[in-house]
Amino acid sequence: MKRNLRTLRRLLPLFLTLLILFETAAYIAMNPRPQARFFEFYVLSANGSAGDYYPNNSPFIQTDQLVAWYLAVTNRMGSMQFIDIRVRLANQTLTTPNDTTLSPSSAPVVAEFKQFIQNNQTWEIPFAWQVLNFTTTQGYSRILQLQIGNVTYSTQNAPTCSSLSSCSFRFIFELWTWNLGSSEFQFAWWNGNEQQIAWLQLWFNLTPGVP
Amino acid sequence: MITKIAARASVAFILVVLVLLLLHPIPVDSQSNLQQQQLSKVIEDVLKAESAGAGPEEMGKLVAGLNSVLNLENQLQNLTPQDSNQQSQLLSQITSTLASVDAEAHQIETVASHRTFTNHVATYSLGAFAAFLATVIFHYVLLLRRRNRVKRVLRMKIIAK
Repeated sequence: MKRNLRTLRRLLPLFLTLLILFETAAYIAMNPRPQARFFEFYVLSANGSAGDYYPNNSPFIQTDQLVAWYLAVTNRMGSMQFIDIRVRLANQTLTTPNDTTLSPSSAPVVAEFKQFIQNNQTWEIPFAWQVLNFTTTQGYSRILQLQIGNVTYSTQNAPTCSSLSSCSFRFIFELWTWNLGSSEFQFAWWNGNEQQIAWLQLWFNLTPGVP
Repeated sequence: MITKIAARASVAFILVVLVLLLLHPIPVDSQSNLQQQQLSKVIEDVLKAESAGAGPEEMGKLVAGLNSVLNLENQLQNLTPQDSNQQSQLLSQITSTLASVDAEAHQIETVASHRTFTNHVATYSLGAFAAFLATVIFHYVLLLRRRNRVKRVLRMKIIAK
């Protein structure tokens, strides 16, 4: 009896040390360290590569010429996200989103694509577009109608270009995320203590004739 | 007597409200605002289910439900004001889909939180059991070593040089 008690007394510190070790391991396994929260946001060409964005490798796009891209967003935020991709049409002078002030571009929004994305899932949006109609008044050219997918968009307050040969248009793609607190989309998301934004742009020149 | 009058008055009030509602249907804008609030609440509930430990398959179902609501909203936006019948049909479809996603999210949250709790209890119990087992093994290894040492000592021969 006395011997058993002595053995128990000797084994108890060992058991307690092992218990603390194993329970710590269990806690670490069940509560992994918070990882960086971010989105992967990219544009691919029709053949799925990060290049050859334009037909015949020329950014000079004719009216009615179809250009096919794929926009893709991968959610690495650690939870389901409700996202909104805002497509803006800009010229050279309109401002792009500001990475310091985290403000969006001043260019008008042409189209929006909304989707719920699960964590670690990628959403790919076919972005086939063509300029249907543009006008030139007093030397300034303006795109009047755009077709994206099967939908025709009439561009209101569209930017102008002074000369089609030297002035470029661009699509700015902004990633907006749903803010639960304010129940609206926000341009920047929180990654720990810092806010981040994601946006892309692709330039093109408009040409009325054969490029 | 007073309760009878109160009951009649409340019935009359409800009838008046109903007649007013019928005469002035709720505009689509305020309905979409209501839906926006409902959507926000459903998103919150789905996220609660996810943080309670819902798996990718369960989340996939909920996300598919939410995306179907977005599809319906897109259809609604493409309708002309003349398609009021279809508008109300789509609105009710959106409301019912949101309600079913919300109910499913609640159900998944309950199941997931129960599952997470069970997993936690099982993991911590396993830790305690592993510590006990390791202690017992250590004890018997020491015992066996001591016994072998005693055996070795007993087998020793004294040789005179």
